Amino acid sequence: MADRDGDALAVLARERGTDLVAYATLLAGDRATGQDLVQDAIVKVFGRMRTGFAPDVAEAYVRRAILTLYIDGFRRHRTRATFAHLVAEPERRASDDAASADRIDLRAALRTLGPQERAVVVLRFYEDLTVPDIADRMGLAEGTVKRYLSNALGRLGERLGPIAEPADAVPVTVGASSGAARRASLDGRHS
Amino acid sequence: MSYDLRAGLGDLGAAERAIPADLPVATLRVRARRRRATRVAVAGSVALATVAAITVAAVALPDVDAAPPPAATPSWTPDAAGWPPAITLDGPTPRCGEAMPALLVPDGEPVLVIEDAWATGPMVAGGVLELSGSTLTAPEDFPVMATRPSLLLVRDGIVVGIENHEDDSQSGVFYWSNEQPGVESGPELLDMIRCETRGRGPVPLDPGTYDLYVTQEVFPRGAPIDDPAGGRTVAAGPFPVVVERPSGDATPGP
Repeated sequence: MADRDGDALAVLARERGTDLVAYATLLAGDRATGQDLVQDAIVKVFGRMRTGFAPDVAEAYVRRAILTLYIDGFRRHRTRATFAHLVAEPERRASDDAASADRIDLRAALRTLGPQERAVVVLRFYEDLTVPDIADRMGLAEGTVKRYLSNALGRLGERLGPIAEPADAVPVTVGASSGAARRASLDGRHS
Repeated sequence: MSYDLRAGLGDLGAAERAIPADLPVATLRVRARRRRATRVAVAGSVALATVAAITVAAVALPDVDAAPPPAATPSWTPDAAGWPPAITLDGPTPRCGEAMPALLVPDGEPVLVIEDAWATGPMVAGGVLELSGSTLTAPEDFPVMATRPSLLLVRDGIVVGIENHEDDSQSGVFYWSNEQPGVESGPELLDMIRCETRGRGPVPLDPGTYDLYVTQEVFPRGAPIDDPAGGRTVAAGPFPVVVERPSGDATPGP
């Protein structure tokens, strides 16, 4: 019989599971790891929480746990990037990706990023968090987040071309500018 | 023309959201409940210890000769050596080409166990095994430290594949979690090699299904690790692992 938190867990998994897995997959780079991250995060959160949490509150905790598990996993173990190209991917991926060259390019570009860099990019441009929010979420100084963001946009810019500035920020010209210029621009705009 | 990263990630996210997540709710409930039980026990013991410490201090003030409080009784039944019930190997950890010993399961419920799903994806021949991670769970009153998990691929009862430690600087590293009594291991990718070749030569692992066993050398936290007699080999398995045929290979597998 499901207990109260078990019901919240079921509601969260049913109603928000797809979004959570999408978020985790963008962080981790592949669907299988994304699924594992979400499941581990749900266990971690529901294994800790006291009774009475609504699913939307639980979701916030789970998203935070997904990020922590993703970063910690890389801190504790050798980087997945060493072997990622050798792991068998489901057939579905190839056919889906073939439908969009842009997605292939972006996935390839994201794979060049370190875990922290990738995390700040996903939080900034997918989750629409501000630099202070990202710093809080990742337990980093804002300056560190800006540095990761600057480095990440630099690398992405090398593969994708100059990155357009977010609507809520002044331009960060990555592809054509130097690292120092990028950093200066980010320091001024993303906080 | 500049690249719209927000739109690009939005597109990627939408593609992922188009696939149902299909999360295993029942399994997640069980895992969460088990973890919660452990954590509640830990929190309770910490709280009790705090209360006990304050009480002892208060009592000790007027009577310094008072007897110490009785030690807490463990919730598990220790074996002759004082260890909690654990799933262990009926023999030494096998090496390549040796027979895999049976797993010894205690009469009562084991409380020192490797768990949390060694969910594996398909493995390319001769290549890489993807593990979702594991947790070595120990009773809250028996904190441990452990080696990182060691993996054995077994077919027909014989160890035929092991992890490639050749360039693995982490091999044998001890680590532990401050967060809970057990030892947690995150997702990782492991390079598995065929025993006969030790990873050298053009002979990859045959396609087919293998049994994966996981072992960890466990020591009471703080115990000397240079004395193997002070530790235990905790084991888990078998977990099925499928080695996929390389693309273009028409040879039938076993």
